[in-house]
Amino acid sequence: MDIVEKSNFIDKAVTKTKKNELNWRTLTQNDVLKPLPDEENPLIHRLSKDPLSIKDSYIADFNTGSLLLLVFISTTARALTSPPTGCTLSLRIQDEKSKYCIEIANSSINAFNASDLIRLYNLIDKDSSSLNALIDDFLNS
Amino acid sequence: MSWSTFGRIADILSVISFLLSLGIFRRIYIKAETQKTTYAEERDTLLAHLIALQKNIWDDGLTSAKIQDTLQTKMFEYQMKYFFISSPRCIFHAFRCTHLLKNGIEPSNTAKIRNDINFLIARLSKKE
Repeated sequence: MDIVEKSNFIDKAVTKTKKNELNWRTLTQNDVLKPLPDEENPLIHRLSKDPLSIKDSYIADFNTGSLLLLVFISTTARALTSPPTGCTLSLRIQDEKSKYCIEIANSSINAFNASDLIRLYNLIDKDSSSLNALIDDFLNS
Repeated sequence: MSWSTFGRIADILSVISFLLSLGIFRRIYIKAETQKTTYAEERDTLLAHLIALQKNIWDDGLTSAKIQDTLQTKMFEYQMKYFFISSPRCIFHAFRCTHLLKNGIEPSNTAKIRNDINFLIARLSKKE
């Protein structure tokens, strides 16, 4: 994926989130997280990444796969910061068939992508789309 | 007391004030150097957050308390981290923005807040 495609992907994710076409929900322990190809090497993985914060991360189903917005926070910063400040955001996509997931963007790698990922995180974090649907159902009942 | 005594006291005070000034200037210089290093290391992060907040507020229509608090925190962060290396114009925009944010983002102050954020984004886009 080149830079333009990545940028288009994030823009599309933002647009679909705004239109409520992606139903983001908080990640749980039961969700299957496929590794990145370089995460197969546990040494590289452990040395290069802060731990994943499951309660701050989100997942949205799309067709046969899912989009993931993962939050990595260092254990020392965990008590002092709240996402998206002081953490690394990673937007990934995975499906049932493939062995690995693909990382679309990572906030620690590219500053331009970082602003878009923070924007997306703020959009998702503003409220729960499932709660909005429940409110709509209640009002229409 | 004679005029010569007054003169000596004035001489001593001028030496003391000169030494104090040197100490103050030295401290400001050290702080400015530290802030230059911080700017080089953390500029990108603050810039990314400000651009994201700008889009969230004006493109996505998010004006929740959390978003406004985050914006205010980032403005305070700018003031504290880069005060000594900022131009008077930057300081004016950073302080005016935090002042305007006390009342929240409203139609009456939107243009000014937007102008302040745009200016600071432009400033942070510049490498020191």
